[in-house]
Amino acid sequence: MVFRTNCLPWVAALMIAVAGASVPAQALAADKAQVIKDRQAFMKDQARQWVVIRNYTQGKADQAAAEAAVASLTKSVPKVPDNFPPDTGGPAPDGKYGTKPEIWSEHDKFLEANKKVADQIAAVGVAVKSGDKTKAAVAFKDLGFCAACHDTFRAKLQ
Amino acid sequence: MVARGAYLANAADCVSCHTDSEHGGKPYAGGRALATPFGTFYSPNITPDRDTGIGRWSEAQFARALRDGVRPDGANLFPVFPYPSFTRIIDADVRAIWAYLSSLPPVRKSDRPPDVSFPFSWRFLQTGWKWLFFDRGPFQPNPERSAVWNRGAYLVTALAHCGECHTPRNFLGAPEQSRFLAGTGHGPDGKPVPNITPDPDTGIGNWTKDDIVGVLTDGHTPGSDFVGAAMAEVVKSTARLTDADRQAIAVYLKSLPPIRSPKKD
Repeated sequence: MVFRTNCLPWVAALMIAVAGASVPAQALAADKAQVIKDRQAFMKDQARQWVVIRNYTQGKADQAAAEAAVASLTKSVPKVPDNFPPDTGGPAPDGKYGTKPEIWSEHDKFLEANKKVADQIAAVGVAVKSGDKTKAAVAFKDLGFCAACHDTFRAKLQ
Repeated sequence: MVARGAYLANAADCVSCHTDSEHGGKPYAGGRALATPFGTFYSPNITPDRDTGIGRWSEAQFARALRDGVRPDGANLFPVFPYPSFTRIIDADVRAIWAYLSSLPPVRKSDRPPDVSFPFSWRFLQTGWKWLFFDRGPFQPNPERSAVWNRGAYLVTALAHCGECHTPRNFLGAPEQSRFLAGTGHGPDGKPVPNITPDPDTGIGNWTKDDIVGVLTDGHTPGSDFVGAAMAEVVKSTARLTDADRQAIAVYLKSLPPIRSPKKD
């Protein structure tokens, strides 16, 4: 019968789909935990780069270090949203901070805020390259206080 | 005098509480909700509007409100207005702040009464609270300490009123002075406020003076972090202090007795 010969690929496809869909819940949880762990390391590294630039504007770090920090942030800042895939909300491993749902519920705002920082790092880079610490301090200050954006998307848990 | 008053008003950060920025309110026109365990208070309009602001007040009446917590009509102010700290402001500074406030554009905006239930809504009960907890009087410099230390002490205890958030309060909402600046688990908006005494484990004992100046300058804390929420608002005003004033605050804070916070479970 036509029906019987043609249903085998469908059955096979169905079996493959079921097998694929039943990835153990534990494996998914482990993925999410890894995303969160990597994300915190990623954000903490960015924080360290910003501090280098801040120190440069205060005469506590040299221009070469500041330029390296700018280069690092130029690469990493646009990648920030990639670290927040859907369903990865939750506290960071050290329990101090966590995600706010606004990251996803107001994703456009999140991307916009991120873009502002990416644009500003370019301005900071120009100032740092010029060797003018005052200009660099102004460009750094133009970013505004970190909390202004981070408070919208980052929850303090402790 | 007006410029000096502007600087002092910034140090006291009047604009922050007296502006409803969440709803686009005009500066100093009041209306900001301040939630406390006793109810929600709304800051009054302190622009010189003659009907809805303080335009009909005299300088003496202003000084009395600021330092004694009493309105021109004789009613008590609630200590959500930090008059227990502002009582320490010296005469010359009160005059300058008054000159500055009087120079602001008047804004028409009526005050909103507090959302507070009995008995906390009864202003006359504040007389009892004051009798128990309020130490009236201007700042007294300590002659055994440096001028810088005294400046820091004046900024912290009077103008910038740090203790209003950073000192834990008893069940009647009065600050526990024995734990001055030692932090609390239930500060404004119910959020924890850090211990800023020099305790090495639970306070900022491991911070240098430069670290303290740093956080007051741009909100960055040692360890590549930054302050958020309510403190970020404070930093907006401390960022506008002179560096000398921030240094003075750091000198004063580092001199305080370290007080250990209770361990959290």
